[in-house]
Amino acid sequence: MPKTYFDIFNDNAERNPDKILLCIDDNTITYRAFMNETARIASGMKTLGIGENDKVGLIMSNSVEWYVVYWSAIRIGAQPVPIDPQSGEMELSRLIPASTVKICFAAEKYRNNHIIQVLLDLIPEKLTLEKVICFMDKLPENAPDCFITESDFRNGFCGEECSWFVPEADHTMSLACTSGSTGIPKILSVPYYGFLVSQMDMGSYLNFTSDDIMMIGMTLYHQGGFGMGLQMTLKGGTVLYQPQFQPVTFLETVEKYRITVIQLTSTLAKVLLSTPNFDSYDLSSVRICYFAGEVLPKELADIFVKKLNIRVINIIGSSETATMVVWDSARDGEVDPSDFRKLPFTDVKVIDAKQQEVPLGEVGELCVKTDAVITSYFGNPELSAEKIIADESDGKRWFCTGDLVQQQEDGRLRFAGRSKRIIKRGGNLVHAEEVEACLLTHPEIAAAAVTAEDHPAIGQQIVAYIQPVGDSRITRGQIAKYFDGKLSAYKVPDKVVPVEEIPKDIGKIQFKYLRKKEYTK
Amino acid sequence: MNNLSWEEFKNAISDYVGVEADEITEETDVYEDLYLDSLGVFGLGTHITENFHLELPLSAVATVSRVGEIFRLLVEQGTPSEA
Repeated sequence: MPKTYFDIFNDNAERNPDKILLCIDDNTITYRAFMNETARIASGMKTLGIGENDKVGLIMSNSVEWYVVYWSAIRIGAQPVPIDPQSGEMELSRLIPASTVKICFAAEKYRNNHIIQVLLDLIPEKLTLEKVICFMDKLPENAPDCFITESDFRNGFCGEECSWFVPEADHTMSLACTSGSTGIPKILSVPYYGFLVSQMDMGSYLNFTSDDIMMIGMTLYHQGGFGMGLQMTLKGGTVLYQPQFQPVTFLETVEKYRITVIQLTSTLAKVLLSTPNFDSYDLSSVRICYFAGEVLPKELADIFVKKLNIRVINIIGSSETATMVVWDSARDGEVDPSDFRKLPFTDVKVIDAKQQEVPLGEVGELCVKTDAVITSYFGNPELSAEKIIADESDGKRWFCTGDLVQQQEDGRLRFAGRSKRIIKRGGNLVHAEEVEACLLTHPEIAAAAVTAEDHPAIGQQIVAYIQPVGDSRITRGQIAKYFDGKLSAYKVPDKVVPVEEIPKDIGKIQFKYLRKKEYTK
Repeated sequence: MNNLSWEEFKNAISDYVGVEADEITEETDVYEDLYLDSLGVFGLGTHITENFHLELPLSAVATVSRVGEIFRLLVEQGTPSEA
């Protein structure tokens, strides 16, 4: 059997016991403390009767506690199920039964969401859980018996020791929930060894070492944010999570901890670059910047590569594949960051609707084969059959990503958009990403999100939500002028709506939270 | 009839197409001079009607091509919308 996660973490802990594994806000945990803490919590889970393949829910924001609970479940062969702590009654009453969660660890609240109160409203009439372990000092008066505080759980159920589970080859590591672009959650069965190998391979490809410190803007409960951090911790390095993006704090943190690897989206990068006195911050420690989730314009990549001397890795991938195809400035610097290549340990093909490979130069759907491709969508055999194709030659799996690409002569793949984000404007198909990328190069646009709106005469019209830089006023006319010569006229947005902010909590545009900009005069 | 002013109308068109308001006259052709395609003219129609809270059958807009004609259409046939 290959090494398990805990073999690797234990090796790291023996080599560097006091090395910080994880830092969130001002809370930290070292490799040694991680081994000890997971033994404690895992032994407590065992006492509660949790074992192999049982599901353990986590409704908590980014925290050291989150990380310990997650890995404690894995330590005993159970499957952690991270749930967005913003989830309310409707989401939890669907997701918890769908993922067959038995016990849940929950924070008292997250932002304005009172998680424990939501669970109290649901249990026992609308939802059953064997135990809810609450991160709060005192339970509400009316709490049923299945609710206990975290300190009562520690004192009453947890011991000091717990050996680690050695899984079979086809073991599932965790269930990852994605919000899904339709609002209906998808639950991914993540393969234990496949995910481990893929994250290890990616960490090796980027030469991550125990001397590295990585700062991630995505959240732990998002599979992508979690996986990126794992690439670093498997190598014995340190990870910081800073999901609330504050440009000044970001720059100060890079300076303070001498961060070596950062993760950004195009929007966040633009915000960062426009920070007053940007040039006065010392970013010389940063050697790699990960981009994901949005189109990365070449102009923006060039600032990082040429001016700041930072290696840029732009990725398209999905939670379902973990590793992906990338544009790596160290390898692909001369071409546009929307031209991707496979990694040494991934494989790609471009297929049509009948799953046949398309000829060079034609647009088709990108299929990716990695060790980490999910084994199934949990509880959804129809969707699994549609998206996951077994490769009989090596027993691995292909995942149909929904990303449209065009294969070039040199083997590179040019990103052509998400198949779901195509706008059908009259007889033309417009890729929202392409319009966004052009908008993002406009000096007075800080962020942009493009979507389709039904139109009585032309089917769909292109609507661009724009977050201007400061109080700049941007009309559709200015954009039409700006697009002139850059993109075809039919790709000019039909409607331009200025908004206060384009929320991108998890790297994807959250259209439902857009708020129209109010100008002061 | 409504009290839409030519100046406001011209400015709204300028906002939409990006051509300076001074350069827009009644004779300006939306296809030739403002570089709109037929779908763009619909978009312009929607922009104008929303801006001035007027309702006008979109099909009426499709029959004309000069800015002055659109203006007269709006003044004569545009009815105040609910919003």
